[in-house]
Amino acid sequence: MRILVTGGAGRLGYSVSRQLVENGQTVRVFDLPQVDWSHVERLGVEAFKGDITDQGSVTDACKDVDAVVHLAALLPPRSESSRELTMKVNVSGTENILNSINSDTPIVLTSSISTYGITANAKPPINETYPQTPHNNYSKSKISAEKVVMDAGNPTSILRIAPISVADLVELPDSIPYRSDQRVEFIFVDDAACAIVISLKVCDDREIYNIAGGKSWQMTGTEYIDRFYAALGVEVEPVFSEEYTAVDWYDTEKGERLGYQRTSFNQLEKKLEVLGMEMGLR
Amino acid sequence: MEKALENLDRVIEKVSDEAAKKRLGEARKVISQNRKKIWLRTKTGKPMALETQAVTENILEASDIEYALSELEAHVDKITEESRRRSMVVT
Repeated sequence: MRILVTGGAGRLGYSVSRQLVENGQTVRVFDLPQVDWSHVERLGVEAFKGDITDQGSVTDACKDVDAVVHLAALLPPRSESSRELTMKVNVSGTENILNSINSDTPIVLTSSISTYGITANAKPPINETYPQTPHNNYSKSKISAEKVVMDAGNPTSILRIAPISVADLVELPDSIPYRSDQRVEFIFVDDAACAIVISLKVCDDREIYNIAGGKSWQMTGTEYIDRFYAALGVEVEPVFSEEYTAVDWYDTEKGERLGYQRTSFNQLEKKLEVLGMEMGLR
Repeated sequence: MEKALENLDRVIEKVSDEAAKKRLGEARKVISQNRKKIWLRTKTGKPMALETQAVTENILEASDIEYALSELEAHVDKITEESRRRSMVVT
């Protein structure tokens, strides 16, 4: 099978492409020409450099593909500086793909748990039936993209993915985008990629899934930051948001059949400890 | 990095050319914004911090400020790129 991975040169895209290649699939990666292609090109994928907002470019990229994994999107904070551009990339970009594939071609859409809006006052965990509440450009665009895909009628899996965590040294932003006492649940990048790859096989069900790390990843904002940087061996002085933001604990029972929750938070800590030693931080 | 900032302050004070002063100010701003980055404490980051100090010392002593300034700007670009690469991933 030839699978098109849009946004495939990013961190999540790389992990998806790697897992697909390891599964024996032919992978065509579509991403902007100016991004760093060096890692993904080493996987032996077909590199297709173009812009998701350009229908011609997308049509060419979709030629002879048997399935699409659609990751390309404008993410926060960049999405919040232009509503127009965010809708163009995240919604029109999705339409461009659907215009370019047959109605029976499966498509996995990566959406986001941020489409539930700010749920601090709700009773956790948040499941897939919780009302979607757009609160910024990004969540608005993802809700619209979900509708575009559902309306198109293709076989699909829509994945509302929690914020991604990586086993790497990640710098703290000036302000952490959640409160210190807020419920947060992230997911390890390779597990999110695993969910995407497996969900390709169940597109006929046309289901929507929450994709998050699971119970071991459910903690408060301050616990996440403390444990992450302690594992790396770094003392940090984080400044948290004073407002609640769109991260919470999620009900991932429906997606359990995908079998993607393979990395506990404790296992991430072990990976970070090794990295911290290799980097001379511990 | 603090020493590099001190060096740049001295150069900025000394230089009379306004265009060069502006470029030095921009480089100083990047160094100041990045001086507490965690990656500068790693095995690969520490040499970068030392190199930052060295390129600012070169400017202090340079007879050809243009060449030394270009060297500083190229170095600052590397700092910016590494910090961008390590910025927090949020979806």
